[in-house]
Amino acid sequence: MSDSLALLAAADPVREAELPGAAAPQARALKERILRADVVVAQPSRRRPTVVAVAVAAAVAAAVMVPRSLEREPVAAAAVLERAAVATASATPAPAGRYAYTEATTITPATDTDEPPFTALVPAVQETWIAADGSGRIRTVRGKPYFPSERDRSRWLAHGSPPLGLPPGSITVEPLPVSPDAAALAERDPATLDARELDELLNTPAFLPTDPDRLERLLQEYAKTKDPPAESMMFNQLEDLLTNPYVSAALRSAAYRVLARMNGIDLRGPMRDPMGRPGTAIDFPAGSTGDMRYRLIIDPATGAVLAEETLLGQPNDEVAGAQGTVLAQVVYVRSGWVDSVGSRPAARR
Amino acid sequence: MSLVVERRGRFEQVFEENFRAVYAYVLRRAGPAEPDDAVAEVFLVAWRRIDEVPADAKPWLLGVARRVLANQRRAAGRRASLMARTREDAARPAPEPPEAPSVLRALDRVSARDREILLLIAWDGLSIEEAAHALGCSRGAAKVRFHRAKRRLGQAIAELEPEDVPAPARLRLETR
Repeated sequence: MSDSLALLAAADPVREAELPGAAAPQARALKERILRADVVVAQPSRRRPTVVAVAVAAAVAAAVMVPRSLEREPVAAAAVLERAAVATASATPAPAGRYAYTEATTITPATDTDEPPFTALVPAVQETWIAADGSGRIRTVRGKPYFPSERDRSRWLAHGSPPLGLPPGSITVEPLPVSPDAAALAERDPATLDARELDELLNTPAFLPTDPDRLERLLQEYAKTKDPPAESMMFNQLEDLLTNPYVSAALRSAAYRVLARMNGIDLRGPMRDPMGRPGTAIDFPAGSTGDMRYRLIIDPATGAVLAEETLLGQPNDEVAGAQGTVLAQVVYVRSGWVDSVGSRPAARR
Repeated sequence: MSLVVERRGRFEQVFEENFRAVYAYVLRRAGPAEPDDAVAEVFLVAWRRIDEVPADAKPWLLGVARRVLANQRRAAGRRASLMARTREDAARPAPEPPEAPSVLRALDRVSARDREILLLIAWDGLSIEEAAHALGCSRGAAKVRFHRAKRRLGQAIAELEPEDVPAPARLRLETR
């Protein structure tokens, strides 16, 4: 250690070894509070790969701004989303059973950031049964991991071929209950809510405002508490609202209208989803660099989200592959309402 | 074992092993005014993203802490110098090493960017590679940044008033 660094180390104002440790009462209380407060596990269908993708983008982010020239047809995009807002108001089914059932096929990126970093892609089929209180079950059957590029594969080999994600198989999850504080939080000015309170509120759609202005303001406050850029976080949260079965028709319409106002929405036009269903696609820049983008494929006739994807723009340090490689994906195969965990709706949507 | 049990177990391990380091990180930068909220938020993020927390969790957690503190500062509109607060709160019963005052003053003279990497290494005990992870940059970039920051800190120490500089350093100063 050089002189200046030794001097600096000696001037550390905090004596770390003397601080209360994890076993101290306040620390244990904090840990319990965090484990209780969690509501994300309650809806892991929303363990959408986009969160991971944002982390990947952030890791490589020198503050390169995304060119906003993507606004090719902002008016057309807004019109498509407005049509979706109108359609979803009448096409969103009200809860008709104890559990919302969803079947989805997913691709989730698993990035190892140890040098040299690589990314593997893990496909899965996921079925969820979620009750209004957030309890239920998620059944995940993982497929065989694969690599977006030869570079990723060779780096994985160089690491000694470590296991990728969880082993294939079926996993049952018992989600945690949703927090009961949301009603009180919904009454407050969003600007006065802290990050934890905003998370709680956003995870309780029954209390979210159905007025687009108010919803937009709440989402803006929420996005400020997350990793920048705020637009990505808003887009992710809107996707969550558009795919959460407990979001009312009115709230879903509002979410489409907030989406329509966002800068950077790129209308891709008619596009079939990975199952071949016809839809309309919109893209949005992901993260703070231009190297990824989100894609949402919606059914304009019903406002239903058919699929969400994160696509590779430019290869970066953590993932290589051709432009447009799908790094993350959720395809909503079918959904409906059932009365018990494990049963499936009879009719396909 | 269910996924929830696995995640809880992993989170508890991350919490036990790193609580003190995160607490210290926040105290060093925010002072003891309201460290609990920031510490709570860091571990809340860790719990929500427990599947992404790497085996060596500390740099990852300090990277989150860095963003949490940045957000808090923005939210509160506070402009107070980070280091001024840390120094103000640095009072402690034991006598300070005689070198401390001048090095802290020197620290005030380097950029926030330099301070950041110097403190991660000198105070939080990260290696250069771990600091790179916490800062979200490459190892090479962190290495360059660290060496430049260290050089500038040394220059700032040398530029301080001679009477503030302890004898050995003053000697060195006079020989320049």
